[in-house]
Amino acid sequence: MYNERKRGNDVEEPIITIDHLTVKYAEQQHPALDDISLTVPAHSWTAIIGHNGSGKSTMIKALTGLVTADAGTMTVAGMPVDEAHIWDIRRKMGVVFQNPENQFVGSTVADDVAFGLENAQIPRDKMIPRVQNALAQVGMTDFATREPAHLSGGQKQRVAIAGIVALAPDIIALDEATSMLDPEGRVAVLQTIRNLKAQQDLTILAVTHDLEEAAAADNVIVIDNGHLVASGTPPEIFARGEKLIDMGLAVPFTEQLKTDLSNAGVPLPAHYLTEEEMAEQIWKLYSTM
Amino acid sequence: MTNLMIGRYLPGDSLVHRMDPRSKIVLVFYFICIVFLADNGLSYLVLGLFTLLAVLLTKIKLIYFWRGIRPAIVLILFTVMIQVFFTRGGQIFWSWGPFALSTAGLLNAWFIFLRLVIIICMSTLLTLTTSPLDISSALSSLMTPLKWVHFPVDIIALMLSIALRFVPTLMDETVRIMNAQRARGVDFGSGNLIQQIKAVVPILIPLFVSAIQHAEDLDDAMTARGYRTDAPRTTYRIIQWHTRDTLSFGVFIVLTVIILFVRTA
Ligand SMILES: Nc1ncnc2c1ncn2[C@@H]1O[C@H](COP(=O)(O)OP(=O)(O)OP(=O)(O)O)[C@@H](O)[C@H]1O
Ligand SMILES: [Mg+2]
Repeated sequence: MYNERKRGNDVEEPIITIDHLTVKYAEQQHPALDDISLTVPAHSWTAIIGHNGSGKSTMIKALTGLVTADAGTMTVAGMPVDEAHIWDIRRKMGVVFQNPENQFVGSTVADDVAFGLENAQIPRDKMIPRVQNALAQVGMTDFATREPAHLSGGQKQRVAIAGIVALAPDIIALDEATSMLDPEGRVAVLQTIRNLKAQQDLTILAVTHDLEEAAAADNVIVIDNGHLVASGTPPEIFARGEKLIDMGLAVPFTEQLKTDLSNAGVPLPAHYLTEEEMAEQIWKLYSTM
Repeated sequence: MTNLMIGRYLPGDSLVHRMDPRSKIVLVFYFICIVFLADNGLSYLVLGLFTLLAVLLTKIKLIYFWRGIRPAIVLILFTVMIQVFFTRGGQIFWSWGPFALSTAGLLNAWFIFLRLVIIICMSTLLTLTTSPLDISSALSSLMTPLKWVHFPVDIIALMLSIALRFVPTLMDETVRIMNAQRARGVDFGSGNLIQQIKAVVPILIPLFVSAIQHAEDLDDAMTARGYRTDAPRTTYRIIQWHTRDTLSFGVFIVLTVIILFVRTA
């Protein structure tokens, strides 16, 4: 949806490749990720969906070298994920983690946004505008001197996003990074990320439980119980409605409506429909009745 | 609950609030040393007036200073009593065994009393006008020379600031755990000592587990954002030295000279 320009050129260099990746935590019986292979095209928005405990966070941690692979190889931004490249990879790929409380390092909002810049040894006079700019992007400018104890979960998530945005990576991985925002806040923050993506040609990897958000992505990856179940464009994925329901994932409203209408004998195209497309279809049907 | 630990800081924008936290820390320590120079009524008067002036400069209500003194009142009274009854000298009004009530004893006790009150007021002034955050940055900055002996100043400073930052989080969790335990019928604050200690264990264990979880996640988040202990970093937060700090040092030098001049010995 945000990628009309890119969708035309069918061959995009993959910016992330995962090849037969297996990760098993010590003391766990089953691997958290079992023989996963996939690629993420550069400049795309890829949504990762799946149940709690299916291994989504583990996958992102493996890509940034926070958990070690038991088997398989990965590349990020053209570099193999190994000891020698991991710090370069971490500068190319920013991660916003699931729990905003546990990634707030600084003692105030501005200090926290600056944390990554300090690590990257950006001089202080260059840090100041970058911190301000990143805070403005997520609408947290007025909170710059606040301490984390006086922020809500959603506000902390915005700060966490700002901390990554300030670093200007090529890839941003969002691990349920908007889960604590209210609906308007979520729309606003996602829009901000979309704008950034367009401006800076970012690649976004977004773990989400929000199928509306997944439906708006370029690609969707479905993980279940450590296995890669499906990967493709949202229309391809949502065309397999029943299967997704089996896996306990909610299907977006338009899909639900389509299934119900089909069951009621109303003919509709098999591929995934956006809200507008759906409205158009219904309007067409209605006018031909 | 959060206020228990760090609520002593009262934000404001008085001259004292705006001083460099480093100069405040250094000057308060220096002042405590000067207090020990005082040995007669006049020198205590000077120090007392100076303290009063400093307190007034903070624009903080006196009641807050009283709250700083209150927890120490037992200690103060105890010390004063010892001075009163164990010092002999001058005119003796009353004596019994080792105890005596004398002019020297009363005077000494009065001085000790003044000394303690002055010291407590000044240290309270430091914590009332300086946020814990500023104190921790100031301490790390003051520790900088230790880098010469390869003391990991930056790591300690980061540890200190993360510890401070997680105090409210862990406090909130303690409250939550206590409520959860209460809901299961645990009774805090009653029973004998053993029973009370037993009631604390089910709070501590979940608290430790949660602290470790915080630490693990924080480790990941910090590493992902490029933090490595073996690489140099730049710093965003700086503390700024102003003319008012230089002037305050001047004021303290003048004070020292006055005290040296008026003291007896
Ligand atoms: N540090 C760890 N040590 C041991 N096991 C872990 C650890 N982290 C995750 N696991 C296990 O690995 C599996 C995958 O976890 P992961 O966090 O990747 O799931 P997820 O898809 O991100 O779930 P959620 O939607 O709840 O965030 C789970 O079974 C989990 O219990
Ligand atoms: Mg997760």
